[in-house]
Amino acid sequence: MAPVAYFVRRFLFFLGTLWAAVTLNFLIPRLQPGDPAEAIVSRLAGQSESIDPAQVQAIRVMLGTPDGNLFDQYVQYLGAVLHGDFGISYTYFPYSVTHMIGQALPWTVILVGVTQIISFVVGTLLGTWAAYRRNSRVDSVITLGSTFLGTLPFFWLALLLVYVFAITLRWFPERGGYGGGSSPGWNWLFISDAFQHSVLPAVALLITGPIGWIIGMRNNMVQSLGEDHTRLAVARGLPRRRVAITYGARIAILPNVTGFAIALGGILGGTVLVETVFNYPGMGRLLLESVSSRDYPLMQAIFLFTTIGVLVANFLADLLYGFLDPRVRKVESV
Amino acid sequence: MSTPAPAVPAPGADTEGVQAAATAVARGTRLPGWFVILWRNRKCRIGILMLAAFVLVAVFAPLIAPYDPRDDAFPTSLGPTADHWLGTTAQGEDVFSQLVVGARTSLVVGLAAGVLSTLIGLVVGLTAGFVGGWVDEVLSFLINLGLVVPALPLMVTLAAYAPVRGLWLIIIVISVTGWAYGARIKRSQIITLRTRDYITAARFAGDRTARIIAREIVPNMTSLIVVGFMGAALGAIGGEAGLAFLGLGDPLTVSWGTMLNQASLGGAMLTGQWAWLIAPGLALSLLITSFTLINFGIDALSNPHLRED
Amino acid sequence: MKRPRLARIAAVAVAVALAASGCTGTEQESGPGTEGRIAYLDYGDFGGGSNPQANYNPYLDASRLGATEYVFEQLITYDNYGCQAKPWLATEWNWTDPRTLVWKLRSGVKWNDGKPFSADDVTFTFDMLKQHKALDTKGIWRYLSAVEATDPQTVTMRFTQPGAAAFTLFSEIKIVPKHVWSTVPDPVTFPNAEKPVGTGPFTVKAFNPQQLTLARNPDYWQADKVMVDELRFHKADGGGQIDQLKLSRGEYDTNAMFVPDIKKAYVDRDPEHNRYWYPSGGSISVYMNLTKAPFNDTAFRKALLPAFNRQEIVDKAQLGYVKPASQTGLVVPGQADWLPKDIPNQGVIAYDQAKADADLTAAGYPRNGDGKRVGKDGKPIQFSFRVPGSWTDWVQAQRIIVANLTALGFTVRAETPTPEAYENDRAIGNYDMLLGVHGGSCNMFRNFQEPLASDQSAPIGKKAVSNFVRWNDPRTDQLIDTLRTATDEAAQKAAVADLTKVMMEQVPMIPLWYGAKWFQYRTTKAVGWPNEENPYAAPSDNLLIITNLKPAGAGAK
Repeated sequence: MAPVAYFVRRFLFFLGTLWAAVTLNFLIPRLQPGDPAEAIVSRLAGQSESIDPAQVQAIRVMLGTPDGNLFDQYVQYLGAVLHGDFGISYTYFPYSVTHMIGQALPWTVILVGVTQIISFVVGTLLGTWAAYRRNSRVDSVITLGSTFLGTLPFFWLALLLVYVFAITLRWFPERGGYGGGSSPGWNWLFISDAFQHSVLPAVALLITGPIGWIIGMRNNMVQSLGEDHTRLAVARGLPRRRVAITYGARIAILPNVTGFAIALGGILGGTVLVETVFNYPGMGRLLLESVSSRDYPLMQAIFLFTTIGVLVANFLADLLYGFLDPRVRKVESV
Repeated sequence: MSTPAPAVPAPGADTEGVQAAATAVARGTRLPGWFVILWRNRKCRIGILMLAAFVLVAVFAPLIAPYDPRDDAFPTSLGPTADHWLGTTAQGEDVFSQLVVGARTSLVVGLAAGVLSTLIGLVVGLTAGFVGGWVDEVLSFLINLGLVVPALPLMVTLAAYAPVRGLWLIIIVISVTGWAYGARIKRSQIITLRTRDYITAARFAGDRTARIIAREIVPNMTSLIVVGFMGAALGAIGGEAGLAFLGLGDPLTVSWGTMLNQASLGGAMLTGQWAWLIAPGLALSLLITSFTLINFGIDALSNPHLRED
Repeated sequence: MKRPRLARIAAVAVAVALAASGCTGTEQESGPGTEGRIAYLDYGDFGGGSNPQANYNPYLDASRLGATEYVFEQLITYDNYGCQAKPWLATEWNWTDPRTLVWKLRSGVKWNDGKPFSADDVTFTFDMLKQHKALDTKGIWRYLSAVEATDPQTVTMRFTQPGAAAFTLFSEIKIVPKHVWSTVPDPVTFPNAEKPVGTGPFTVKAFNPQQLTLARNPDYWQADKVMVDELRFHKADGGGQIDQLKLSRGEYDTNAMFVPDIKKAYVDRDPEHNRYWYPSGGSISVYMNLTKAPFNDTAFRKALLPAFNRQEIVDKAQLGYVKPASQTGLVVPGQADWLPKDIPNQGVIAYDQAKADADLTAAGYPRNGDGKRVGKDGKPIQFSFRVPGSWTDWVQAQRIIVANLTALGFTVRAETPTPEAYENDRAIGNYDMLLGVHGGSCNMFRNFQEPLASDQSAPIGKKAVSNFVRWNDPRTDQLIDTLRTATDEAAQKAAVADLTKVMMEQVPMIPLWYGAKWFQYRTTKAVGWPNEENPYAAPSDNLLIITNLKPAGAGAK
């Protein structure tokens, strides 16, 4: 299959999945029973007060009723999305969905982006080392240690960190992205405050983050080190270290690189747990809130952004892999 | 984010060699060959023992648990005492009993969701890989769609919207969001296998497709399927815990995830009840570890390079 | 080599983190209060969701910030505990006839930008609510026909029908300045984010999504009563443990959160100063689908009254913080004045399983050979009982209720849908038995009309406004109508007395316990909070409370 056809296929797939995601996004909230106005009022009323019908009605009017049948709404929705108009959030009325996402996005991207990059680097290095010294004590420690760490439920680990370091030792703040005294902006007070608040979440992410990379890299490298061409290089007398890096790591890292690109795309989706435990003001928490308060416009937009992020990352990863590994372009893509 | 990608035989792993290796080893013992290889691998042995322990606890839970896990007649928020080894919850229930009974839920969800998502993945992957053509195109598109939609947000959305909460809902939600990964792996393995000579021979001999799949292909994919199942199961265990922690679980059943959710809401950190906080998480972690260790063994089974001999 | 490099990087990171943690002070400091006032008080959450935006539009209930309670004011204020109206922006009011209400406004009131307050602002506010239905969250225009300013200090309101029943709503409608809001193109999307102008005791000083700070308004019309210079509201983390921790550490001067063990976690930390008071709210009742057998049989419902162990629900599910509810639908003892004298024990039914068993059999629902209770058709009675799965205390109550009913021979399926599905099913009548909340407000008309009036109901399959049990009784409707139009208290009391008899004898629903209004406070800095000994206001009557607080040690209590 010619190289161009490979890329064209990937692009078509990208478009197709995008359309499917947008359509699903539109359909799912509308298939469920329940009225956003009632959801809002019942949240406000709490469990010990009766719901005021006048309030429900007023909020219904405020949110506006969609006109036309399902198909008309769908067409309107598609048009709006193409214009970048995602509507006004129900929970944060009258602020727009784009405004709310714009506030939450940097927090998620910075916290998770930075920790992902560090996890990847650390994980790949550790995995390479473990494979290089396979079956030695170093290898056992790294492999078993990361296996065990990887099985710890993330939110549990996070809770323990909060309990020990924030509540008991009081070294770090217990939750939030920043404290009450500083205002978001480019000033030192805010930045150092935000940094302080990000330490515990980052530590939690960094403990569990590298594991996949370690195991993957180690397995891949053991595989490639065991291949015949590697053995030949060793037999020819090339230094072991050079063999490990040139023949082992460089080939083994390929799947990891594309995996990393995909993981970057998955940032937005994976942050729900971190942000819930630490009450971090990112996209994950916003999503959870919008789902539980039936804030359709906000929820749809977050889902869309998340899916687009993953799709773009996947597409770029496929491109990257196509460039890095010529074999792929020749074989039917799997 | 919390669970590593299921251990998959690296590309080029010799799944067909598994059968041969197993047969070779079994000569001389009465145990099935695959079991002997697994048992020989030390990590896998530990994993099997741990899993067996959990299964025993789950099966005999009503006998082991000193009290009914929902019996809230006890004093609230106690630390570990002689009567209550792990203390009591904020409602006055015995934590240890909950831990023991919770093993059932976690195992049931893990196994059921693991089986369900492996089955779906197997059927889709088999059909796509074996039949080929436009069926493959459509199914591949679905698989990729399933991979691309972010799992946790989808789980949260589905669980939050379902009209009735229950254990089956959790199982279905986890399976629906998790089948795609296994499907893709199996599909690519089928594509590799279907060009083999013995398959072509079977075709020429006139064997029907179903028979070919059952007699020739699936046995050579066993290690792949089992690894996929283990991975799906441990993902399901973690997924149920995560959903329960977020408050989307089934409030009527006791599971380790709901225990952590209750501990978090019930002020375990406030009252210093570290036992209530640590026990369910540790249990989850050990159970998942046992699955992962067993996976190591199966990996070693199919990929001679990874064997520890 | 890899290991030292990693270690070095780790060391540097830790050092930076520790350094950064040492050098920031995230809380503003302020000096001691001026003129003997309290410098600042720490309050709890201020609304607006998990990532609040600046929104001081008092009618956008869904997203406005709590500051609107202190920046804007109403014509009257209600003490929602004793149900007493107090003059506020209006000093007098008079029903010149059942459909006309004349208000005399207070003189000398100024907006916080210096401009004077007048009747024009009142008429403008009400006309704006009429024009933009989305802002009329109290539905006042269901009753009003016109509002006009007869002179700068007088406002006359005309109602379409006798309007006494709507009177309490005026304590909840904030008045906004005409000179600001008349320039706004669309008040429905107006967040009023920049320096909101109101007549209230505080102005907005600073805002970020974690903290909202209000400053005392020195030109407030009763500024001498406001003894606090600043109110600082802190964002909560959704009621989780961290907030409870802060409460127990004394980082809040007042809050309204649910705490699992209030004595151990809060009061015991500082018994002298840490206090709490949980007055009762609405009745949480068993709603039965009155269109289905056997719930459509009055004798059956009456027989069920002693079947529920209300005290156990209060003790276990509500941790003893609330009281068992009266069958009359009134909040006792707070609303005891409205009770007819001949109702025993204020209408609170004691748990008596034997009596329920006997009454059910006598009503025609005996047990069969297997101990199961059968209906008039001879088949064992089975039904579902639902509560929203995420409301843990209701789930606990569900367990007790199901146990109570199962002991009587019923087969009950416990179900736990999501709150949205639950509310939807309840509204369209797709249920057998579930829980609902009603009553508890100072507006007696609302307390009975919402759950019982037939015009608030709807056929099964269509959404009922608030009469979810589908109670349809002409006599009840007549009593509710009398209540709506009655202008003197004697007539109102008579109507309420008859309605309580309907509740006791015909049992449209079965109240179990009262919802509680959570309220914690500390007396280290400020005294004068409402409590059981001095219930001058309900915990949510912010304006009444803030004008009653005094610095601790000032002598007054």
